[in-house]
Amino acid sequence: MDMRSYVARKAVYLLITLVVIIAFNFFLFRIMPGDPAAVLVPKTANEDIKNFIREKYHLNDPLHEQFASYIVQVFTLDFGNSFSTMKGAEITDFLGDKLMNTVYLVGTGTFLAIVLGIAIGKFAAWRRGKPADAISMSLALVFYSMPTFLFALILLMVFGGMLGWFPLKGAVDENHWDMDFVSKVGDRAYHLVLPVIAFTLEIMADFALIMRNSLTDVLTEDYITTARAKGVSNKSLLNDHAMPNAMLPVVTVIAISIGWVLGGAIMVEIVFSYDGVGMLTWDAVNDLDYPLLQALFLVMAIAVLAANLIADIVYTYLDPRVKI
Amino acid sequence: MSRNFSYHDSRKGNFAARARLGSALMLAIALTMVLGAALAGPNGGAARSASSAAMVPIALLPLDYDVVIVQCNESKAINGSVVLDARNSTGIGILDYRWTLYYNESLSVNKTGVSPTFVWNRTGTWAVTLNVSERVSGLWSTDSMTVRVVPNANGGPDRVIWEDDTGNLTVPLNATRSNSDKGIVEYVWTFNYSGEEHTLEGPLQQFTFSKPGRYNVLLKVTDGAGYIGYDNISIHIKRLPYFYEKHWIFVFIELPIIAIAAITLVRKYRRDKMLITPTDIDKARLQMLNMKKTWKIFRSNKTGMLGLIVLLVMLAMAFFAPWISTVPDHPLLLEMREPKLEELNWVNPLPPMWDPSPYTGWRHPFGTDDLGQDVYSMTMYGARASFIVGLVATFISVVIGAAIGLGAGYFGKMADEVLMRTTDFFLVLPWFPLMIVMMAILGPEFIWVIVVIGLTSWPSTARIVRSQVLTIKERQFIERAKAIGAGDSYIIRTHIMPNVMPLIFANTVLLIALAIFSEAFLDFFGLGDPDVISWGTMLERAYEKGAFSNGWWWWIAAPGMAIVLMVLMFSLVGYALDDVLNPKLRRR
Repeated sequence: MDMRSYVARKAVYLLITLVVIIAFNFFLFRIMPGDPAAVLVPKTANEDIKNFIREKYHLNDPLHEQFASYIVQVFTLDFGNSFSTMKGAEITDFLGDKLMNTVYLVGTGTFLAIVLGIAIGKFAAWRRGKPADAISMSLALVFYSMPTFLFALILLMVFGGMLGWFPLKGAVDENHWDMDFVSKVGDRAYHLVLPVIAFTLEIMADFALIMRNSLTDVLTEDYITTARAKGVSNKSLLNDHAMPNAMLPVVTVIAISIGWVLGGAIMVEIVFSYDGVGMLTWDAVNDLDYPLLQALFLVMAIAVLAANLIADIVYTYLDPRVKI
Repeated sequence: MSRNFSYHDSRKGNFAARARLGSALMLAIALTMVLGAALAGPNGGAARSASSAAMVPIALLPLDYDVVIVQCNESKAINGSVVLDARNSTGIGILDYRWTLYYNESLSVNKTGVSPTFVWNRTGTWAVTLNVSERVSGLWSTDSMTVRVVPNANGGPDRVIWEDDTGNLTVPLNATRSNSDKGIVEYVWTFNYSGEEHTLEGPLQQFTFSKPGRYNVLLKVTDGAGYIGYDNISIHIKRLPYFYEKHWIFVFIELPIIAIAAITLVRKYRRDKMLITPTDIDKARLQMLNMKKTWKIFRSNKTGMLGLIVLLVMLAMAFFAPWISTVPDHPLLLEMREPKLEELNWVNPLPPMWDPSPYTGWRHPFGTDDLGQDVYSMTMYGARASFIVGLVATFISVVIGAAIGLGAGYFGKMADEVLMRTTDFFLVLPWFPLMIVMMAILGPEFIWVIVVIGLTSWPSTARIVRSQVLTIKERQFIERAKAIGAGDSYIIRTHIMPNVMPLIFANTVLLIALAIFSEAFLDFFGLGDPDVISWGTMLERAYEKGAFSNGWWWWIAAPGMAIVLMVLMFSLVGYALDDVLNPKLRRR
C-alpha cells in the first residue's frame, strides 16, 4: 500500500470519528439531566426569543429530526446565535477571528515547546546522572506539577504588574485597528510574549521528560554499544543512531497530549485576557451560553483530530517499520 | 441599515464571515501542530479581501444594548461605562469613525475612534449614530442603534443559608445600594413563598423563610422619570444535612472498602487455617520475601521516598485539619452566617491583610483573605478535598479502565474491536473542554467534580491493562487452568488480575496527580463547589478579588505551593514505582 492510500484510509477513519464526535456533541447537550429547551434557551429571554430559538433548533420536533437538522447546520457552518458574548450575534460571525488569535498563541507555543523540549531532553539524557541532568529534570518536574494558571498568574504579577514590561491583558492594543501593517505585527508580538512563555514552559516540561526517558532507554540498547565500538563520534552517535529511534514515542506522546495542550491554552488565555477561543469558552461557561459551548467543543475536537492525523503521517516518515 | 432589537435580524456580513470561519478553520488545522506561527498577517485579512468587492464601506454595530447605570449620585462622577464597538465595520484603507450620542436637545455627545468609551449617566433612551468614512475616497455610510439606560437595581448578593434549628430564619432584604440619576421613588420585592405571592415595598425589608428551598426574589425599582430596573436575587435555604449526607465519603466509600477488606481477610485467615500445607507456607514466605525486596528497591530510590514521606505528612494534615487549624471552627462557617440587618452596611476595612497575630498568639499565620477567613486553616482543610478527589476519581477511572481493558484483552475479537474503538474515541476527545462542558451542564457540585474527572481519565488505563492482559493471556499457566476446566471469571479473578494490577499501580499513582491537577483547573474555572474548601477555589477567589494585581502574596503562596507540592510528590512516587515495578526499566 502506498502513502496516498494510507492517508486516504486514515482520512476515512477520521471522518467516521468526526461524525461520532458530532453525534456525541449533539447528545451530550440533550441527554444530560434537565430539559434541553431549558438548557439551550436563555433564562432571561422573553417569549418571542424563546420561541425563535425553539424553532431554530427544532426543539419541538422528535429527536431524530433534530439530529438531522443539527448535522445540516454543522456542515453549513451554522452554529446558531450566542446569548452572551455579543448578544444575539451569529457564532459563525466572530468565531473565526478568535480562532486565529488562538492559532497564533498555540502555534508559536507548541513549536517552541517541541523544539526546546526535545533539545533539553537530549541534553539531560546525554549527561545522565550528572548535575546538569538532575537540575534540568527537577526544573522540568516542577513545571510539570505546576498548574498552568498559577505559573501564568505569577508571570503576569511579576513582569506585567511589578516591572510593567509587558501589557497586562488583551491580544492587541486598544488602537490596534488604526495602526499600519508593521506596527500591527509588532503590537501582536508584544502582546504574545508573556502568554507564549507561560504556555511554552508548561508543555515543554512534559516533552522534555518523555524525550529524556526515551533517549536513556535507547542509549542502553546493544546497537549503541556496537556503534561506539565501531568508533562512531559522540555527535553522530547521538544524532544519527540514537535520536531517530528515541523520537518515536515522543511523537506519539505529543499527539496524545494535544488535549492537554488545549487545556493549557485555555488557562493561559483566561489569565492574560487573551482574546481567543479559551477566553470565549470561559465567557460561555460563566454565562451558560450552551450554543457557543457546543460550537467551541466541536472546533476543539476537530483540532485534536487534525493533530492526531498529522502525527500519524509524521510517524510513518520517522519509522519505516510501520506497516502502511 | 437601522435595526431594532431582535433575534431574527439577518446580518449582512454573514457570507463574508462564513468564508472567514471556513478559512480560519483550515488554517487552524494546518497550523495546530506544525511549524511555528505566522505571527504576521493582519487579523481577518481573509475577510477584507472577501468583502472588498463592495464599493461603499459598511458600518456595522452590535445589536442594541440595554445598559444599567452602575453608580450614580449628585456629587460624584458616574462610573458605569459600556464600550461602543464598531470593529465589524468594513471598508478600504484607513477609516474614520464619528459617533453621535443623542439624549435630548440639550445633551448630545460627539466621539471619535473605533471603540470610544462613554459613561451612561442619564436613565432613558440614547440614540447612537455611527458614521464611517473612507479617508481616501471619502465614501461613507451610517448605522445606528439605541441604548436604553435603566436604573441600577441592587438587592444585595445571592445567599446560601443553612436552615435554622428553631425553624425561623429572618432574612434581611436591602436595596439601599440601588441608584439612578433621577432618584428612586419605589422599591417592590416580589417572591413566591409556600405557594403564595408575597409583595413587600420599601428599600429595607425582612422576611421569615422557615422552609428550606430556593427562593427567587425579584426587586423592581422605579426612578423619578418612571424608568424601571430589575434585579433577581436567589436565596437558598439549605436543609441541615443528615448524617449520611455530611459523611457520604465515609458511609458510601470508606465503609464498604473496610467491610470488604475485613471479610476478605477473615475468609483468607480461615482458609489458611483449614488447609495449611508446606507448599502454602513456602508460597507465603516467597511472597513476603518478594514484598521485602520490592520495598528495599523502593527505599533505595531517594526521590520516591521523599515523595512518600511528604505525602504522608500531607495526609496527616488533611486528617487532623480541625485540630491543627488556628481558627477552630470550619472556616467557611464564618461565611455561612447570615449577617444581621444592622451589620449589612458595615464593610470590613481590613481584610485581606498580612498580620499574623491580630489577637493573642498566632491566630492568622498566613494572613487572611478578603472575607477575613484564615488562609492557614483553609489550606489545611484544602488538603482534604485534594485527597478525596484524587483518590475517589482515580478509583472510578481505574475501575472503568480496568473493566474495559480486561474485557477487550481477554475476550478479543469483536469485543476487543468495539471496546478499543470506544477507547480511542475517548482518547481523541479533548478531555479538558469535555470536562468543562460536562461540569457546565451538571452544575458545580463536589460529587460531580469527582465523577467528571473519573469519567474523562480512564482511556489510558484501559490501553495499558489491555496490553498487559494480551501478554499474560498467552502464558502457559492460563492454558493449564483452562485445561482443568476453569471458567473465564475464575481465570480473570485469580490469574489475570493479580498479575496485571501491580503493573498498572504506578500508572494509578500518576493518575492521582492528574486528578488533583484537573480539580484545581475546574475550581479555578469557577466550576468547583463553592461550599467545599479547596486550594483551587482559594486561588480562584484570590484571582477574582485581584490578589495577583495587588500583590497580596500571602493569599496565593500557601494554596499555590500546596498544589505544586502535592502533584509533584505524587509524580515522584509514581515514577519511582514505575522504576520498581517495571523490570525493563530497572536496569537504568
